Order: sequence, then structure tokens, then C-alpha cells
Amino acid sequence: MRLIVDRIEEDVIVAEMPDMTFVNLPRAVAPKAKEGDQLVISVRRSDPKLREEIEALENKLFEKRADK
Amino acid sequence: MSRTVPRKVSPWVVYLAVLLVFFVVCYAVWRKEHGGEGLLGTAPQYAYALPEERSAFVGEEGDALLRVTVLDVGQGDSALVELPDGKLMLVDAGDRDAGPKVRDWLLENSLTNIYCIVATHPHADHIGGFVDILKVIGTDLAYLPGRKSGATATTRVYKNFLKAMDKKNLTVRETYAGDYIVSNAVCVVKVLAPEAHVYEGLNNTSICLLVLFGKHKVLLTGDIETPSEKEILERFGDDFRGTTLLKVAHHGSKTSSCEEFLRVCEPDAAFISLGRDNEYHHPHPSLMKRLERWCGEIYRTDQEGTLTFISDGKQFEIQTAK
Repeated sequence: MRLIVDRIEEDVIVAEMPDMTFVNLPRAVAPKAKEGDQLVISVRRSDPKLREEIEALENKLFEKRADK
Repeated sequence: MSRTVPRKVSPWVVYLAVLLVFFVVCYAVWRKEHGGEGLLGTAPQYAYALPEERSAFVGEEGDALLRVTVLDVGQGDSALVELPDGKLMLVDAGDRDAGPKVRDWLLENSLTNIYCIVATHPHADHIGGFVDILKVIGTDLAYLPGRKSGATATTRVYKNFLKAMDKKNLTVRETYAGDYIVSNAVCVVKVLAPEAHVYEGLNNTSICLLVLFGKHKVLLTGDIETPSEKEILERFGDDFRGTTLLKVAHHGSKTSSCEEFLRVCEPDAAFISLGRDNEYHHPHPSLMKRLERWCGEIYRTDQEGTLTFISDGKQFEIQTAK
């Protein structure tokens, strides 16, 4: 989905959605965004490598808890 | 072929007709004296938005009046300027949700014969409502900030607004500081901004209008911020010194209405157009302090609803809907 930045009000980005409704986003989401820029929102499947790392960390932590 | 034969009219019919006319005239006079519109009157009514005290304006009957109505469109801007020479100007139209509301208000009050629309700048909270409004009003003239100021948006709302003007075959004039929208013996509408160079941010491309009538000055500022305010001060400072009414820029944002600007302007009254409990924290407390220092009365659409300034060129009155 592509959102078009209509304006920036204080710390809020006011962006136009494809159906011409508007959504407020915290400016921290895209601090460099300016009026007229497009914010592109896309969905990606979770990174398998990252998932492996997280699961390994979980396993480690859960083992620790089990040890206690 | 038939012929019309004159018939003798009964004296009773004449007597009843005279009596009927007498009662109609009495009723018209009574309505006019009690705040209603006379049967033969054509003045617009604002019953749904304005208080009944409207009829108690200080000016004498028959005086030419300047009327500036800042409509309660939530978080956005829309103002109808009724000039004393009879011309109507619609300055901004609020956002898309406000469009039907402004359209209905114009229809209910028979204010659809508009001389021109003014889109101060292409942000959605100022131009979004125009598409609905253009479907019902009679106008063939639009003023937009000149493109040399960088006033081009890329939103679909802006594109639809341009399409609506194209469909209606409007004459669209690019506007810059120093232009006049109206200039005659009765009143003047002068453009104070934007200049013909690219600004940082669309707010600063806003068309800023100065309306002059008698001894009164009304300043409509769009969303100008400090960079534009400083340019206006430098070039037109003497023109708007001692303003009567200021439509506060950018809904009361802290980035507008700087100290130097307000010191010269020093308005008798200030209108702020903004939405109740808006997410942008308008009006900003620092701006309110500046306004309290330099302005007379301060009125807010989020608290008092639609706001109306009426002037006969000598005295003025302000009416609020709530």
C-alpha cells in the first residue's frame, strides 16, 4: 500500500490512503518524510534466519527458567 | 373563436381583497420587527448556525455590510466572505467530510451564486470539500496560489479538486502577492502572499487575503507560517497595521502567528478555526499566550461554533453560533 503524505502537523504525519481517507501516523515512523512523499507499506514473511535466532534465544531462556 | 366578456365585479370581492392585502402587509411588518425576514425580503438567513441577535446589528437598515463567516468545519478551514458590493467569495472548503456540510449550509441560505472560490493552498483540510460544493454552486472563477511558490500537491484529493474545476470549466487564476481579487469604490480584496518563489512546505504557499471596507481590515491567512509572515510584514506591514479581524493562521499552530506579525497586526478580534480535541494539539499554548498579549477578543470554532464578523465600515459586531 502506498500512502501519500498530505501534510505534517507537529509530530503527526497526515497521510492519504488509496481510498482518499486520511490516517495519522507518528512522525517517528518516517522522520525524513516530507509533503508529497510516498510511504510504502508492504508485508514480508518473517525472516527465517531471524526466526531461528529468536527461537534459539527462547530455548536458551526457557532452559534457564527450567533450571531454576 | 371565443371572446372574453368583461364581468361586473361585486363590491364585496373588492372589499375582501383590500382586507387581505392589509393583513399581508401587517404580517410582513410584524415579522421584520420581530427578527424574521420580511415577506418581500431577500436577505440570506442563517437560522441554523447563528444566534437570533443577528438582526440587532448596529448598522442602519439598508447599509452595505461586510460579513465574514468562519464555518465550523472541525479541523480545517472554510470561510464565506460576503462583500458589501454583493459579491460572495468562498475561501477554502474544509476537508472531504466537511464538503457536504458547507454545501448544505450554502444551499439552505441561498448563497450559491458565488463570485469566486479561493483555495488558499492544496492541503486536504482546506480543499477536500470543494468537490461536493462545486456541484451545487454557480461560479466560474477560482484563485489558487501561483505555481512558482511550489504549491503543487500529489494527493488524490488535490487531483480530484483539479478535475472538478476542469469539469466545471472554471477560469483558474494563479495568484501572487500584490494581486487584487476585488478593487472598487466600495471595498478591496488584496493578495498579500505568496511571493513568486518556492517555499519550504505547502503551508507557506497559502494565499493571504486582506479585505478592506471603510475603516475595517480583515486578514485571512490560510496556513501561513513565520517565513511567509515575515515577507508579508516587510512588503505590506503598513497595509494591515491595526487589523480589525484576524483569521488566525494554521488552526493555532505554534509555527504561525509570530510575535512580530501579531505586534503589527494587533487585531481587535481573532478567529481560530479548529476541531475539538484535535490530535495535533491545536491551538498551541505558546500561540495562545501570544494572542492574549496582542489580540482583543479571541473566538474558537471548537468552542463557539460558526463565527461571524459583520461590519458596516464604521462599527462591527461578532456573532457566535453557540
